[in-house]
Amino acid sequence: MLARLATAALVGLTAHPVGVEVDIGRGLPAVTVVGLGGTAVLEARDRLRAAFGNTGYEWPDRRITVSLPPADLPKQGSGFDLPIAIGLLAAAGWVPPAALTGLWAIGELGLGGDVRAVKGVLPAALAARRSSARLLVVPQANLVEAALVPDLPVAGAASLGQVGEWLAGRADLGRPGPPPDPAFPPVEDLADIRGQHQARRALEIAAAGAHNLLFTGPPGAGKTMLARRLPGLLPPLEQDEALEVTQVFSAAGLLGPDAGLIRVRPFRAPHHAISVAGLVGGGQVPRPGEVSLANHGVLFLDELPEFSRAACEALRQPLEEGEVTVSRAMTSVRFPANFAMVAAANPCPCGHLGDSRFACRCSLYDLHRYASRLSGPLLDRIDLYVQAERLTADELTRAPDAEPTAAVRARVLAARALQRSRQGAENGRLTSADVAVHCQVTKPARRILVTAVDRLGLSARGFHRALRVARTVADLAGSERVEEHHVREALSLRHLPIIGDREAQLV
Amino acid sequence: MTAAEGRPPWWTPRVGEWEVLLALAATPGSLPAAVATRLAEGRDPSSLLRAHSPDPGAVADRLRALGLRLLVPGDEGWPLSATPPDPPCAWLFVAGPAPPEAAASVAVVGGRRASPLRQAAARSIGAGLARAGWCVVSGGAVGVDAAAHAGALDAGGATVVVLGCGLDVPYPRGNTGLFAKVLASGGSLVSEHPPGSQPRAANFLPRNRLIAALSAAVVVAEAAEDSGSLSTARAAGSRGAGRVLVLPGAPWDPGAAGCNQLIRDGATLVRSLADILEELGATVTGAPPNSTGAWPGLDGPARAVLTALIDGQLVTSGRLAAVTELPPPTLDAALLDLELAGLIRRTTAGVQAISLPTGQAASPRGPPSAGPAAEEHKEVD
Repeated sequence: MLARLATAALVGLTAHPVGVEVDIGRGLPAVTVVGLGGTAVLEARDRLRAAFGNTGYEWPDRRITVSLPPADLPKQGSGFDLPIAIGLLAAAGWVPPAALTGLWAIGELGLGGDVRAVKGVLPAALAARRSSARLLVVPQANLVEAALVPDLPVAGAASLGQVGEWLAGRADLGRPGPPPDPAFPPVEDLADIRGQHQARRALEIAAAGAHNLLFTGPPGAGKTMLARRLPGLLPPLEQDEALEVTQVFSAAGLLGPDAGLIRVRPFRAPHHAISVAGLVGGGQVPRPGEVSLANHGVLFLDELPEFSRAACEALRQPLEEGEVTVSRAMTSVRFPANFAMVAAANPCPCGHLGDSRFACRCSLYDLHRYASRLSGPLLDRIDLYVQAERLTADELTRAPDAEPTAAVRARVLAARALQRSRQGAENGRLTSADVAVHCQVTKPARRILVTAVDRLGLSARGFHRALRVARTVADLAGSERVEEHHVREALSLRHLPIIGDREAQLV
Repeated sequence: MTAAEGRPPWWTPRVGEWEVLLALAATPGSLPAAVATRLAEGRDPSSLLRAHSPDPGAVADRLRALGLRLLVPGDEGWPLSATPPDPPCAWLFVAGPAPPEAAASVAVVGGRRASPLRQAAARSIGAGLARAGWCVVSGGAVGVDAAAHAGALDAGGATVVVLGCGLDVPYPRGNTGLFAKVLASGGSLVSEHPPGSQPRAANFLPRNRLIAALSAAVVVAEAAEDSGSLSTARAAGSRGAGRVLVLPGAPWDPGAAGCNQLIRDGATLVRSLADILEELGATVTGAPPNSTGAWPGLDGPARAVLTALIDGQLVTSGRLAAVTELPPPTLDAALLDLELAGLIRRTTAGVQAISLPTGQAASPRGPPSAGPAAEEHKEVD
């Protein structure tokens, strides 16, 4: 007898509809799975047999054929266990085949018949809705995640026995509760940071104009603490942005059990020893990398000079295009990667150059090497340089109370609204041609820029960067024109020479 | 007569003394100062040859191809007859003209990591000495050495670069352009080491004795504790004839630790180029050195910032804010003004002064030679 239902296979971030056909026919007892199933899919045979036995269903000792069309789409993962089990129950006559019409299912089976959480439930639910599924059955632990998709009936299964009883009409599955409290979760507040005048201001400018940022400073200066305050300064996630963020986390298997919609902008801080695949995505079955997990949020690269050259090179595509393409022999998938980048670096390998409390122990050679590691194409994408300071206990107590995130964010939102109405994009994303159109400056402001080119060796790129940043400073002040003092502030946040950089040598 | 063990295959008793010396000088791996000491003890030069000592004919060809010469005591132009170094020196490889006698030269020495302010001082002193007709002698390192040569070249003077490696070895790489300029301006490069010798750490202390021996006086523009500049100064001091002139510094200035020690040990303190020229026997007229360290024409905040940077050390802007007690916007404005005036530079590690107060600077650092249009400017940031 033949039974049919549907499930979904994850390719990158999107799930594709996959049919599940189970046939029990005559022949020597055997189970065949056809349709490009990966290792985990083929292993379903063993899990199913044990789960059936332990639930009390007699295993049909006949020839069982499972087909997963379309046959040319590779399928990975353990989410096929539950739909195949349901198909088997129907094909063996345990439940009426009519119960399977329009039914979608996803989930892994334990040997005891329990239904376990899988990754990619949210993308699967989106695919089910596109196909107008009658009902999607998911593991009970993924029920909140599946319920995020509106207009799709979902149910949660805890065990194979429960599913069988429900199909026979004798019990019900778990049903989603009311949507969770949409209250905006707390963010790390800027009011926690005292002193650091310039760093706080740079965060505000970075948030307002989508400028990338580099903090330099000795260990313990609070570079990480500062960077963590950036997501809270950005506008709240829109509904579709939140769904996209949650989708990436779901596909990466990083959504916890009973996790709902992610409403906070993500903050990702990968370690500098990370591989290229870990950073931008990859693997035999392409998985999203840190840049995609930071989508609509902040990617923090602490100890930037320690990242491998290959990793830095790999960041170029996401920084330029807002997405990454991972190509494999079988497939090529695209992951979103639209993030704000904050990088941090010590001033020298030992970290104490310029520190009044500790002597720097680096040799000139160490400094040269460090400077050459820190330079590179990635720095071109950074608009703001800021020094983070280590404050003494005395300075900390004397520092005035700091402005809270909410107050700063109000200015950021107003500045972003100005940019949207003027040019439809943030200042940090303006090309050189756009800069010429939208970043007109007053005469005195231009004069100081020309002086900076002359006396500070400001490059053509540096010139445009200063204009973009000055535009954001003016937007934060609500000023239509870019005035001299806006340019001056932008110039104090410009790229600075690195001690040890041979180009910056004085003689 | 049998050849002593270890002598090279080409050697016969009939090979001339000059050829033996040429082969000896070109023998890789031996310390020139050690060989010179044994020669001074009266050892037969040929007994010091090693099995791998190169054929003198090939050496002569190589030197010719590289445009180098070997000078030995007694040659015309041998600069060390009046001021023999200790340990002695038996030969010098020379590019360019033979260096002048010590009486015509002054050494300017200091470290590679000297603060920009002390580098500016070295450059200014180099220029002033050249203008007064002195030849400037120094090593070939970045920092003070390069600044002193650059200053002398600014003033159209000649300089002598004493290297711790072969004259054809581009070390340090960043200074190869400077070396070419030295030769083009009629200066010379000298070294005890044959072409191809790599810069080994052991080469530099013996090199310093040559810098001292080639100069009538050594000006120490910067010397950290236990630095190489101290060895040059002590070599000059122990020779007796040479004078050691030292730029002092605050007790907490790490670039002055060695300087102040030298002064305490009896070296001469100099405050300015005028002091240096006076010590060298010139009659100096004109304004006394500006000892107040004033930068005229600066308003309060800028002056306060410069005063805090007077040591030339790196200071973070947070520390500057604490020391000057200026509110952040005023401090930022003052820093940008000072940067645009070319008096300080900001780096990722902190702020530091780069230009000497007026009156100290014989040749202030000019603006970068930038074109007027930003688009044409070289990418450096």
